[in-house]
Amino acid sequence: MHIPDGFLDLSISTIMFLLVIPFWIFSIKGVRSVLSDKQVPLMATLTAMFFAAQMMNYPIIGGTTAHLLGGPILAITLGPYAGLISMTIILFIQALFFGDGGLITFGANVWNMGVIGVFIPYLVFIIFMKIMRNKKGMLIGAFLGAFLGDVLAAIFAGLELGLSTINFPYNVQIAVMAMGVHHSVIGIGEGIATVMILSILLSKRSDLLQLQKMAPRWLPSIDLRGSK
Amino acid sequence: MDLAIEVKDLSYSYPDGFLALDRVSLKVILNERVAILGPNGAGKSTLLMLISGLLKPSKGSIHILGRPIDENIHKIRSEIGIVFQDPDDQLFCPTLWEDVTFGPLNMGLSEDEVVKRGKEALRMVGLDGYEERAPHHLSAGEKKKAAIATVLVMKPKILILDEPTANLDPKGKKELVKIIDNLHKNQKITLIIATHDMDFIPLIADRAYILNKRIIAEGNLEDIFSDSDMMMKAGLDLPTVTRLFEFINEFMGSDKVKPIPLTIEQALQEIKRLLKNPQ
Amino acid sequence: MISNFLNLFEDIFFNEKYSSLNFIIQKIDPRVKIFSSIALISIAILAKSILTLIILTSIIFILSIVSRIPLKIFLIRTSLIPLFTTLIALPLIFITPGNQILNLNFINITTEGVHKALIFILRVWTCVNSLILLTLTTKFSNIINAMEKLKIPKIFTVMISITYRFIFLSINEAYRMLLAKESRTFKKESRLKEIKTLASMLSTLFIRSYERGERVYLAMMARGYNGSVNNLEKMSINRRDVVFILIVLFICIIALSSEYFLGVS
Ligand SMILES: Nc1ncnc2c1ncn2[C@@H]1O[C@H](COP(=O)(O)OP(=O)(O)OP(=O)(O)O)[C@@H](O)[C@H]1O
Ligand SMILES: [Mg+2]
Repeated sequence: MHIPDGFLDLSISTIMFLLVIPFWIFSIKGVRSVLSDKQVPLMATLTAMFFAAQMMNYPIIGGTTAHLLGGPILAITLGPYAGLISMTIILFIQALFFGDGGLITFGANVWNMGVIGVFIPYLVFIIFMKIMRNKKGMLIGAFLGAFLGDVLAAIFAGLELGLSTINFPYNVQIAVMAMGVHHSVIGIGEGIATVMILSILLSKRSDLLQLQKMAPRWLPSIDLRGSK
Repeated sequence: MDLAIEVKDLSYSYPDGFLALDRVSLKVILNERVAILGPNGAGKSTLLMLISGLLKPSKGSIHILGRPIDENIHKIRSEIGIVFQDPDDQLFCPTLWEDVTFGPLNMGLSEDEVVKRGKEALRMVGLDGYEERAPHHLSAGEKKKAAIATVLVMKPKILILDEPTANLDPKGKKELVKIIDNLHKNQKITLIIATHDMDFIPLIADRAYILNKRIIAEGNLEDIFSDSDMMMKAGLDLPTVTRLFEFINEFMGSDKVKPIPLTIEQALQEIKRLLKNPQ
Repeated sequence: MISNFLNLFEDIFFNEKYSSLNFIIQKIDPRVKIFSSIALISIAILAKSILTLIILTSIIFILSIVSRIPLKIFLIRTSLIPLFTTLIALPLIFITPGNQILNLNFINITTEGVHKALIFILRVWTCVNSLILLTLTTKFSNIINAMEKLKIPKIFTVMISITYRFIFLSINEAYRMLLAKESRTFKKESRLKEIKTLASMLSTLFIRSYERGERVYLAMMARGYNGSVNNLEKMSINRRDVVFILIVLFICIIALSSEYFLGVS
């Protein structure tokens, strides 16, 4: 899903950058208000771990393998603000060292995998958690969130590619279809993996999950430990 | 006698509820060299973190240089230098130079002073020329030396070392002993060292505490090491030389060699004496 | 096997051997290099002719050669994405309508198709080349310092530098766990079971990294960390940098104007 430089038109890339900037500002403010300076090294070591995890392939339905995008589990464990910053850093290092992604397409990639890929799973997860108020709700929310996040991110990537009429040689329908279909399969794998990781973390170290602190203030709060 | 460190009835439980230290009390005098000995999981690292003011005691009190630790914690942190057990925790910058200057820059020293101290610290541990190296490309022993440099550069009054000899080769160990000796003699530094390396202890410490969740024994090295039953019970060994001479004593059926040597040098003296005077 | 792989991996992707050399491109101020990369990539994106792209790529290759980067390393580092792009571009050869070059029953190759595919691949390759040249000739710590000087928020620069530091450790840990798992599996497992093992490994990694982060925080505090990180590094733009940037700008202007005003294609 990483879009390399040269795939998108300059105009689309610029628009995506402009779209992402407010989210960056919002997240930096958000992180400052909910996290202490303790979390900076903590977020960094976790980001490094997610970077390593992205390099592990996992099997998905249909006989192919894919790697975890990690957005959903980042959103659930670190919250959306830190999740976006963490994803931004992962994408930056990947672009620089693997050429996976790019400088000009950086905004677009952050939008797809950092904004859509983190905020959507987070919102779905929080909503299910608040409605069902139990562990089952959390797990269903985590699965649907991960699935939707992946698929929507892919659809956005398809849109950006398709709308780049100058540089990308296929049209919107083909781009969106190809990305969407492929990633709805990957999304199921991501969903299953996210649910499993979450349930293991809940049973082993629920104290590490900081959802109470991360949730935006306008959402009613819920005590996670009680719902175990 | 001025106290560098005074710990009273200190208990500590980790956030998950695990009790790591139980009513520990100890005293360290200024310019003293004290070893903390104990088996794996005894709470040595935990105790050292508490003394450095990095963890908050669950119960009990800690005084550093006569002041309670929670009073002006930042000042105290600049007076205590701690070298962590795992150097990977301590080297977090992209280059060694940035790691070494991290502390002095936070202390607000002038740039010239920071550069001077940085170079000096790297030279002391034998890593000059490594400034631009990335920590993750260093060998395990080099990482350990680098971690020590990041602390020496702050010129602490109290130096705390957690397993300093892990991963060091014999030459590295000798150099470390020299560095420590030098700091102790010339800069009057106070030393606290946690280690398993029993042969190393007599070279760098005068006194020891045996810790296993609580303090089991305390005393001069000679006294501690002559109580081999207690050491066994605590899951600890004696220095190789000491064990050898205990054997000799047992074999000869007497306390012929007294005090029992702790280091190779002492052992050589003793053997010379025995050879000259077989009775 | 896995440790071999790890060494190879580090050697290929995270080697600072070439960035610590002292040749022309390595000496340029990192800010100037970042700016130049962005400029070259932008031109490649705007370029419409194969000729312009070939010239741009050649310039980048020349720059990489004068910075003494072995051609093999440069090609390995830059070929991944273009290969993937080739896969995507392949159908274009057959589905684009136009002048037929080859016509065998179903297969139908056109000049337009080949041209379209070629320019797409070449453009991506030029962009990747320019980005990787930056990475290969600039130390990572210098990139971070440059970003700091360019007023990228501290939280990013501090986090990037710590993250970068711990990536190696995490990859190592992950692969050691994979190895341990491999050594204890004796038969083919079902997919679900495999995902399950992976999930439990990832959660273990998560917990370990979390605890590592806490210890790193303590180590930072022990050395006076109070939320900000200071830096001694100074950067200054000198004559060489100015000349370099003028040359890059000159190339960009020539490329653009030849395309748009002279209609080179
Ligand atoms: N972050 C933590 N959370 C919970 N328990 C912990 C944590 N860190 C350490 N412990 C536990 O506290 C006990 C003491 O640990 P500590 O690291 O202080 O031992 P140690 O004496 O330094 O051991 P070693 O010789 O292996 O270094 C151990 O049983 C350990 O499992
Ligand atoms: Mg320890």
